[in-house]
Amino acid sequence: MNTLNNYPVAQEQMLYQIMKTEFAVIDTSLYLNTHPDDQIALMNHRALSQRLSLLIDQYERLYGPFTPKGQSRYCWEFVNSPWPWEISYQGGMK
Amino acid sequence: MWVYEKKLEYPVRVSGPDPKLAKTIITQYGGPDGELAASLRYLTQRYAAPINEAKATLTDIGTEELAHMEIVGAIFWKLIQGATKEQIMEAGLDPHYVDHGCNPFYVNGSGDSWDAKYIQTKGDIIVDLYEDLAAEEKARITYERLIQLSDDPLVNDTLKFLREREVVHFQRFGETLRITQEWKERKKFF
Repeated sequence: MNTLNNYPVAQEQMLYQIMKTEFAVIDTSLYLNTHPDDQIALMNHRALSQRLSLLIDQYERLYGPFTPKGQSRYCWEFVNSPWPWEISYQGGMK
Repeated sequence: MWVYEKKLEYPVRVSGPDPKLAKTIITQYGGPDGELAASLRYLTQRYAAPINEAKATLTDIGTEELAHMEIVGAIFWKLIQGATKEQIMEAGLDPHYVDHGCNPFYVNGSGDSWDAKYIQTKGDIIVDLYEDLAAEEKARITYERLIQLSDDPLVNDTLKFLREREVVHFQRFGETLRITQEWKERKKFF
């Protein structure tokens, strides 16, 4: 019955970097919605958002599409498991 | 529109099977103060929002709540993996298992189906924002009670993240209310 899976540690670590960075982007953008003129927050958001794009680019080059908009080379890798609710999140979190 | 990203907003880890805990946590999936209710409430309040800050805030928080629903669903599913028949029966999760297998469903902790009567939009942004502030507080206290009841430190780690987001959303809705009220005041001097 136990169907929890692991990505290879390197992949999970990279996914975890994306999760951390994207959370910071989500939180800053939500703050900016009610503080659209806050220059420091804008600067932070810009830096985080650039970092996130880079991380997703790197991840997709190695492991295939992160979203249906991502590109795949030989076969459509978007379908590959594990899906987010199946990952054990034990390997890459440190 | 929305685009799926193959990740959770925050990792979901469990220490082991605990169907009893799963049965209480499901209320944040499909209960009155749960994430489905939150998301659907905010997203349908957007249309009558008169100012851009409110449209953006309702859209982004409504979207984040969908991601939280996915997190709660993952907690439920993981807590049932590896559970024995006895554990399922003992937890009173057997009717759920018969109807839905191990999938989460849109019910509260007592098994009652999700109901649109949990939520409202009045078509007036000030009134709606007051409902949203209350909703975030109700969700916050629900997570606090779940954390009280849970003995699983890994599940609690995720529940603490979700609780913290309710606090942040409350803050952002409060700012949105203030900005909207200031905008209404200004309009009198046209």
